[in-house]
Amino acid sequence: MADSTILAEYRKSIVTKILFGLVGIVLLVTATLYALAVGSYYLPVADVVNILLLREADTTAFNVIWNIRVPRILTALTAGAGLAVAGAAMQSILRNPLGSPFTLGISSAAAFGAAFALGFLGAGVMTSSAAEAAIIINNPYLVTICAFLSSLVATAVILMLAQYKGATPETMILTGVALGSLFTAGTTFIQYFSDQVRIAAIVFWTFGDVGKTGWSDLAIIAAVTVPALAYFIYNSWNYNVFKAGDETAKSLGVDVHRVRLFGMLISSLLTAVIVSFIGIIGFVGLVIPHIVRRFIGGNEIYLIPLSAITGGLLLLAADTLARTVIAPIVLPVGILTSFMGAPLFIYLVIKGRNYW
Amino acid sequence: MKITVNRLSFSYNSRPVLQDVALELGEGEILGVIGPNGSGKSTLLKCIDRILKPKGGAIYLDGKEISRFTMSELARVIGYVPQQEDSRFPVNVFDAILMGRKPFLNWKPSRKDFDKVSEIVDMLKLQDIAMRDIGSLSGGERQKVIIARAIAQEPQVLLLDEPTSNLDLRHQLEVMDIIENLAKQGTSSVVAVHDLNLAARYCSKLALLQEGKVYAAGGLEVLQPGNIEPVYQVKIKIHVNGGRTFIQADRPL
Repeated sequence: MADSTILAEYRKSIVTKILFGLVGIVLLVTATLYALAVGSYYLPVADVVNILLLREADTTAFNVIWNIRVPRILTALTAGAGLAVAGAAMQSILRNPLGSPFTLGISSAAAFGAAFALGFLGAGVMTSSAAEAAIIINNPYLVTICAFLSSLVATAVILMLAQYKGATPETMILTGVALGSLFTAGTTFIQYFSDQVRIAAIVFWTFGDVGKTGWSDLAIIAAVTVPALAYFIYNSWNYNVFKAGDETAKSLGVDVHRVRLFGMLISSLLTAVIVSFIGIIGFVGLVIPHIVRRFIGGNEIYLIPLSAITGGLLLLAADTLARTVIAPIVLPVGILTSFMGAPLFIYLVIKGRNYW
Repeated sequence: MKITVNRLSFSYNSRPVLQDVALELGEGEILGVIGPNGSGKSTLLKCIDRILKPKGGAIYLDGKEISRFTMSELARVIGYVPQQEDSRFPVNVFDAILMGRKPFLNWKPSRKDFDKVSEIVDMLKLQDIAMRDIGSLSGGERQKVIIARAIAQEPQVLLLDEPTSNLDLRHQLEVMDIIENLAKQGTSSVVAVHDLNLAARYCSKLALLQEGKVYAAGGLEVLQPGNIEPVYQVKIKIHVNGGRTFIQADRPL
């Protein structure tokens, strides 16, 4: 059969989506090069490229690029992609446009678990000088496992709401807010029983900063993010069908309970790993999928990979801004995403169903 | 495909919704399930599609019990059109119909799936709205899209839960015509309907439910005052005009 006009039109809409992805990738490369160049130690882009291609070695510049900026930038890209994808998946799985690791309280729960490991289980070594206190995670697995277990508590509550109560998006978010405060209270409790230096360290750590990860931390984040992304892309048609409701999804042969359970487990794990290394970064997971849907529509098979690209790009841009906006002070990027994300969240709520 | 429902029972918590329901339907037949609100019509459809798990009894498709089908096997045989569906995310019409190909997908749609969908778009004359978001459609258009999705499953059995209840007159007839045309090609349909006149006109078989039990079943003769009046608690008048039966609700009893 020859292509009908409908099919041709549909193909055209797909080309637009692919184009969106290509533009995203170009911007990503540009932003990466820019982020490598700027900072308190400025390097011209040409030098950056030379260092990246290993044509120049054994210089301060080489150290700055390979040991400070590249891990930082890759962390921003991976964490941004991971959070955006976790948000996109949660929104579809729970049929909730306001869903995200942060709004459902899962980030706060993970942060509590991590703080518990750092504060009580001795998973962190403290360094403290007159100017700053910081925790260096010496047992990343313990911190991540605690963060994951704790995030599972929040996930279980949300899952039960979705599964058995058929909760509306609003109920789910209100529960998320309650869970968020509960776990934040837990984190505060840990701080209350810690000494001053430790308090400062935990507070600093919860800010959400992509600058404290080294190569090995980055490897762990990537080792979870990349398979999770593949898993979500593999399941994208299941999530497409979820949008029509549980009953329809079942009638189309999708094992709703299983797909929802595994999807939520994996997005919680992803959130927990990211949070345990870089702290809470709010709103990326919520806002990015909406921005992407605006441009390319709701088809998950494109939404998920393009959310990853856009999430990485946005977090990198935000971090670069955070590094340079009031230089020489380097802001934690979590503060900036909250400043940008909260108004966007309110906008989404007000705009409401007209947009969804 | 032949459907046999044998002594089916279902309860929500401990409240019985279906009791000992027995029905039979042959290939290409349209079974209209009628009855007042809460008589168990939707529940019956959901049990047939295994969306709900019956408490007792069994359902057979061509002699094979439905619990012996895998979920996607069943989805390749039965298409389900729910009473209402709302999406909180943007979905365009083409993608919504493509969802009906889900039971056939390994991972993503193939050339054949796209062709199938565009064929159905042509068949149901949805070309003008194919790229629009389903949220922006009228009730009648949306209903047609949902039916189109079920057709994309290439089902041998179609279950429709009050497919005409929110539609204007023209869309009601269009939707029922689609079901009739599919029946001519061999698709068996079970349709829950409120409008007894539509049931009289389109259905080859009827089952009247009252509080989860089959009150009467058979052909058009089910539509007689002796059945309708006690079940619906209304006085009715029946007119026959041009070979068609019309039921007029007169007053509540």
